Amino acid sequence: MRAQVNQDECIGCGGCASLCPEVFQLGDSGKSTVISDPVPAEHEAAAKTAADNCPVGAISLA
Amino acid sequence: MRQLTEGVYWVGVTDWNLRHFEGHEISVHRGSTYNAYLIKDEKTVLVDTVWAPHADRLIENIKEVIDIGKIDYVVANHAEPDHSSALPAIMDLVPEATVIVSRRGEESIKRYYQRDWKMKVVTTGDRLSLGSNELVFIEASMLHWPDSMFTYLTGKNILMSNDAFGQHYAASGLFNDEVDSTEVYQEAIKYYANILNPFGRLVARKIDELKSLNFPIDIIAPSHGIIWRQDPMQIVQKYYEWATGPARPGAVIAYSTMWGATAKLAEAVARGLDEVRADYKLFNVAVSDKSDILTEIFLARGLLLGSSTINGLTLSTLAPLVEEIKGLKFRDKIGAAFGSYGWSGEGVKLLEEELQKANVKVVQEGIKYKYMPNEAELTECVAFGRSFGEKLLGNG
Repeated sequence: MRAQVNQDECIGCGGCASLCPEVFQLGDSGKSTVISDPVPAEHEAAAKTAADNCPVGAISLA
Repeated sequence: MRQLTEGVYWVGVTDWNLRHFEGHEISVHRGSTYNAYLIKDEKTVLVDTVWAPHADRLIENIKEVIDIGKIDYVVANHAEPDHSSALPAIMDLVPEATVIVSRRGEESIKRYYQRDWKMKVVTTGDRLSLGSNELVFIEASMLHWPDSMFTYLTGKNILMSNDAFGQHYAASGLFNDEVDSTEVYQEAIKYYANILNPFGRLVARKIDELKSLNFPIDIIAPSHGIIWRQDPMQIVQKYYEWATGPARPGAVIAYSTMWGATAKLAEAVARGLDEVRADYKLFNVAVSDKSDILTEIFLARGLLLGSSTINGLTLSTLAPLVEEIKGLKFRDKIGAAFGSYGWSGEGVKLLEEELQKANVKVVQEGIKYKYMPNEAELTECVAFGRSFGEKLLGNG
């Protein structure tokens, strides 16, 4: 599974970093960045939770 | 003005006559309060303000405690106008004061007021010494806006949690031990269901984080409603249950009807639920309060939507409710649809599509009947309700 955060849409709320810190982290820009790509199998469920709970739908998983 | 504890004052405003909130989106049957807190130490801090139409009352309350010019800091935990729109009135009186905001709060406060106030941006764990005690800031993004933040006062052990743990509830008492707890919980759960539910996952994480900080908490002071003083962690525990726990194995039947046929279907479906002893609540949406129905939907695992078909669509009186269930992101719900029709009959299919968009699992095919159901068709509706009830109870 690959994860991507649309930097234009991300509002830097940190929700994904809270729900799946192994994959998402707030970068210096204040926006979420993917730190583990591809997503390790054991974190796929958490990454999906993070994507589902992103308030602006900026996370895509494929 | 009321004193919370030595050196800490409630300087907010009670609005007994408020009946709608966030514009007209949410009903507030028992009024509400806008809680603002004044802390007097070597430095003086105002934590949050009120909705702009009540600014004068806030200023009067502050003047009962201190010379308003002594305010050094104004903490804006959240930029929503019910808490921040008296900022311009306050800052005009204390232009040298510093506004304290979260990272996202800097953006939202600047966008709302477009003023050049002195601002200090804080992040989780930052401390500000007031003299004998300190403020500690805890970002609480998406509880319920990106900018949301909690402010904790050491020494007094007060967590000012802004919108989290609040209720729209006007009372003569200030603390939970001074009011009727049943009323408070009715309002607290309605507030959670209608405002915080979309962020439930983050609520649970934030509570874990809060507990891991190990701050002693004697008082939780939200920005609406009563202040939790007696067993303050009870509301934190409730939030955790609401965010993670299972819904009640019951159903809400919400329908709209034109000439009573869909109402007959709804009542027959309810009979079916009753036959298997599944709990239910029945609402004609057109004559019921939307925010109250949403609270009941939050509490129940099952949702049955009914509408007759009009001009190839569903009744417009049902639309606001359907729009809300898509936004509020309820989890782990099951549903089904029913309705009457005259000629084309698209309504039931459309309701099923809306349920799916709201992440409600449609567990049985919808039923629809032409004009007025006959006895045999009503018996089918009862069976439909029974089947749904069995699924709710885990037997189906």
